[in-house]
Amino acid sequence: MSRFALSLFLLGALLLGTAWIVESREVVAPGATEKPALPEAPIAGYRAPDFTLTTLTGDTVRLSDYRGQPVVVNFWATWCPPCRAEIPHFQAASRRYNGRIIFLGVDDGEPVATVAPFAAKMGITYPIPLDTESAVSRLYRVNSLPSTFFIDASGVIRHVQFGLVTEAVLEENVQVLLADEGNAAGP
Amino acid sequence: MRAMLPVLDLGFAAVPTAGLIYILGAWLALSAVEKGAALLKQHVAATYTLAVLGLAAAFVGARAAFVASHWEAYRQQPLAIVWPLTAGFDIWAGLLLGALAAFFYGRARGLPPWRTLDALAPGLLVGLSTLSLADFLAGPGYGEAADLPWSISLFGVSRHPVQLYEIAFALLALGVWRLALIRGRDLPSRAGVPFLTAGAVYSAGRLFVDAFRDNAWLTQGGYHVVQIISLVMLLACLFFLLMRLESNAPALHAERRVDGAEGMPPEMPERRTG
Repeated sequence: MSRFALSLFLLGALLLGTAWIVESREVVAPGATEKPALPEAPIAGYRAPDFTLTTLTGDTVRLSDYRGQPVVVNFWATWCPPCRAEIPHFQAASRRYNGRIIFLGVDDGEPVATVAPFAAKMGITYPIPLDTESAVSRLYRVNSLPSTFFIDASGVIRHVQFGLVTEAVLEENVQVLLADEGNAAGP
Repeated sequence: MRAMLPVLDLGFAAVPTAGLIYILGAWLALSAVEKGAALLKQHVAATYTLAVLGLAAAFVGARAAFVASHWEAYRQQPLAIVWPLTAGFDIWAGLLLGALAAFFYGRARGLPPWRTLDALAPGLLVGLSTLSLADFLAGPGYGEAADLPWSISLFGVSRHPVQLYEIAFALLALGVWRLALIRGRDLPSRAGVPFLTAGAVYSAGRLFVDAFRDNAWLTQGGYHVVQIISLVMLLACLFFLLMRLESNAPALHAERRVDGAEGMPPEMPERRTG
């Protein structure tokens, strides 16, 4: 290709590329505050599927009741070693961010009699909804434990972490949720 | 067509799919670099080592940067530095450190820069395809809603398979690389052309395709960040192609005038040991 042709090609790429970028720009319609609601699905970018469960203490929790606050939903079980390893991180974070972020430790498929003594021994104070039939686990397509869903204040899943969540990874994702909350709150 | 396979259930264990794909992709990418170096008649062992070094430095660098930025947490649990590795990487730090390691190694071995980039190009394209495949099967990316024969169904909504589009452009770029190689493998003045043309094609593809992502990375003003980066890369590739043509114009004319003769690649400086 000659130099002149290549120069022309470069100029064309600049003009067409810029035009395509402008054409692809995502603009929220006037009067709207956000993009149209996404369907519910257990993957990042979608709205977190709603669920209602009873906690270890007998309270009823519904995920959508927490709309307006970020939520961290951790699926775990007492027989799962990495779950046991990460619980202290969630406990510490729930204390540190008390009132700013909700932590829910959804126990997968175990009865109260198994979970209660374990929770007491580990000193867990955040809500532990009991998914005794594993219905919510199936809804969230939890194939392995632990699995953790980081949900922002508008109810959209921002990140899904399969496997052990270290303190650093938990802190990183919590900061993302809090930053979104700060941006959403405005000046 | 359905997507989403974030975890591979092996019965006795559940393995994150993305991790497996990255490992397979790294192996394929390194194989592609080896083949590329052989096709270009470059120093295969040195080029392969450069690629391995770059990859290793990127991995270790990304992890080290993340650990450093969360040192308080890792100080109390030092074992967490090395396990688990399913999360906790600073991608930008990894890319920078990987590129630097490869650059300095290449300089130390006296590898010709443009020809080395030509040899690395197929590995880079395979690596980028790997990232797209991992995103398709296990990642958070998805395309805009579209009712097309090749749409994928994601939780009841038909969508553009954007990651497959990206892979298609990577394969196209690989074909362009091969074509450019056939035309100028033994011509020193053509060094860099396969890398730059493949880079231009892939960048143009990403610029086009990212428009069809539904959860794209956006600027405050709603512009697609990947599109901006791709346009910059495309223009850079075309600019350097122009510079290569201008600086090598006399050599190109000479090469065209010689009938039936082939230019030979520069001799590799032998590294003395001991």
